[in-house]
Amino acid sequence: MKIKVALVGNPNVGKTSLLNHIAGTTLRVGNWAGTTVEKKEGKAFYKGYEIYLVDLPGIYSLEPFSEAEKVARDYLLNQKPDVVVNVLETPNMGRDLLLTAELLEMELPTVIALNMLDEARRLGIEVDKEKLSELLGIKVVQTNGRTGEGKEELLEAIVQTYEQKIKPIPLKYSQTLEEYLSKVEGSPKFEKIKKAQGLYGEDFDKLLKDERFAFAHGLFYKVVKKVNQGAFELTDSLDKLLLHPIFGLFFFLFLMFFMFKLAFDFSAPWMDWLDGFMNRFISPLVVYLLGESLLSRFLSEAVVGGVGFVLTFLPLIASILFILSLLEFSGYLPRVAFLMDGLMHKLGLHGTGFIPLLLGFGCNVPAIMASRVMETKRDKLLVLAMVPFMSCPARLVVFSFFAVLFFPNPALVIFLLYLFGVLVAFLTSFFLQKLVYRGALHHMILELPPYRLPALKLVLRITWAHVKHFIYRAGTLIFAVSVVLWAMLNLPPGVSNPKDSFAGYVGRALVPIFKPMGLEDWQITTSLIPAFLAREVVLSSMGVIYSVEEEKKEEFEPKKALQEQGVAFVNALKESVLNLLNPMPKALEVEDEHSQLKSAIKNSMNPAQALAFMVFILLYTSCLGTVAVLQKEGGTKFALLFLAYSFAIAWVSGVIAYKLLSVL
Amino acid sequence: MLEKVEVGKKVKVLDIEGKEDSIKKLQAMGIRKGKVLEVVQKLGRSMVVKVDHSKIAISKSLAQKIKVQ
Repeated sequence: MKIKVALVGNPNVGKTSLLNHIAGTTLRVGNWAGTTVEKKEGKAFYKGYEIYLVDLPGIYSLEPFSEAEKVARDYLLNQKPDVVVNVLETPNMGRDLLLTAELLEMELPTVIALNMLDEARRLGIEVDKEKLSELLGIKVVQTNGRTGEGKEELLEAIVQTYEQKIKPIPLKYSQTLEEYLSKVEGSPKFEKIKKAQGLYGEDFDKLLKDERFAFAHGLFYKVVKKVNQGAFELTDSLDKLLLHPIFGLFFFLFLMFFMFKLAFDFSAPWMDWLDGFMNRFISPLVVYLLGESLLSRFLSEAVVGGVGFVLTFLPLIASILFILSLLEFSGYLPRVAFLMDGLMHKLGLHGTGFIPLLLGFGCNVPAIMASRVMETKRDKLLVLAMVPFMSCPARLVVFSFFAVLFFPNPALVIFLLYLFGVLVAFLTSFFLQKLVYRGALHHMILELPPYRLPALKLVLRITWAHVKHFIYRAGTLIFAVSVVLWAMLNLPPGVSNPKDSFAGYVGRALVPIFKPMGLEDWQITTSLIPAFLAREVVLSSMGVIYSVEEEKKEEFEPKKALQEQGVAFVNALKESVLNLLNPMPKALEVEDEHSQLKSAIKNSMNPAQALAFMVFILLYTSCLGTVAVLQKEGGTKFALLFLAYSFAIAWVSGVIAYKLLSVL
Repeated sequence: MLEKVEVGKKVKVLDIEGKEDSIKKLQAMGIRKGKVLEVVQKLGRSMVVKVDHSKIAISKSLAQKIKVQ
């Protein structure tokens, strides 16, 4: 038997923590269909029932102010959950009971969970739960989302409410309001109210609102006892510092620096190790075991390579999402929105947008995933359209190769390229606001919840749920496209020269498109095809296509190679810890490679062409990982449109750069 | 107007103008006629107010619509 349960409550009341305790490892994250609103779900088994729980978005009212309320309201009306669990933040019951009143109007089997029991106790707030239960006619349990206290009682209450179909005692508003309602047909009460709203308009609306508040207020005074006035609140003291116009900003910048380092420098050695493990151990091992053939090459290069490519993202994504969840559950995140609001507002965004944009300089992929902290769909899509123009270390690798080769002052050129990327991001956002997301920026209204020490288990589980979601949604796409790219380079069967491969044909067909940029060599256009995987690949693929770099073939011995991987693993461990101690961000350093390729490129390009090429690489979203997460967060249409847009703007900018420098 | 209240001061809400969604949301969050608000911090375009046990960051443009005493 299955019981469908919806968790409903205000934002930051600890629904997710509660769900985490009940659902354990079955916790999953995703998006509500057709929206950018996050969905969390999980299940538990209790007394022979499979209890499926879904965490509805945190809302203050069922009135549709934004996507979140619409999602919650539609779910309750259309999906008809078997039991609604209304989670209340006990210290804020006075406010939370408004939503309770609206839920009671729906007349669904309901359980009330008084959460944050410990915080309420500290503040000297006591709730008479028997009385509350008696007044509403439903079960009331007390819970603590942090420790999981009261979890059994909640499950028991859910099962009993389901078995006995315990519905709340019908709400009675004042005579005037009830008279209005008696004139319309419908059930439940919520249905009647909706009809009456349509019929009587504003007067009714105002009356209804007052009545709901009065109900919540009355209930609050009947069941809540304040024993201790003016208790010490740690949050207030912390906020004196953390919201301070100077100290608060300083702390935030320090935190961002730390976050940047932790995420990128800590995970870089692990990414290298994973890459090496897949490509220098698993891949040759497959060939070693199966013998040389097109099939074994396909398995070792396309399949193992593709899986390895997806895997290399994981350390980065996991560390970013871990830190982000930590910030989110600690209650700090909304404070960022307040602190950065001044700066970001000039760009037409709310303050929270600062985080993904900054992370973009480390890697666009987790930065795009970090856009999930944006409060509204509009803000989220704007951030999604800006992040890919933030230049990342993969681009830096390409820039430093070309800039050093062609320009007397490479550092300046690279700096200007970074700046240009930021400029294009802002212009993109500006035009999107003029054309698509018209209308002034919404007022900021954001609750700053009390600071809470997040439970490590919860943060780890949420991180894991996101990583799983990434593998499932983005990973499959990345894998599929990387296999296709491999096939383009290695088919038809028997090609030894890239010129004869499908990629070579496509590359030559692309030449007329790139000609206005001064790029007339098929070698360059062809090397852009595998570079769709990741920008830095353009250098190694140029190496192969210009046939200056022979792939080194070593004898493969499984035992010896395994030993080497073991050593590399220990080194990665050492390096990631050392990186954390080094105050400079390591992610921005570049190693010098491809010395033979340099002379080949030097002979076939001039500075104007090189600049055009760099500008093109900067702006065009030539990064499969980025496109995959854009698709995951913004939808297929958004991802494809953005890819086309980035190509167009990259092309135009490349042409202009070429012409400008040719004239000078 | 709430917008002009200094940091650290406590004021009582007299009236809230407007019928748009953001006003309705504020009311649902507990900022209503008769409530006592404490201005916690002001920075640039926005400010933080405390009502009962919750803190809310709002734009000053919205605070302009909240009449206080």
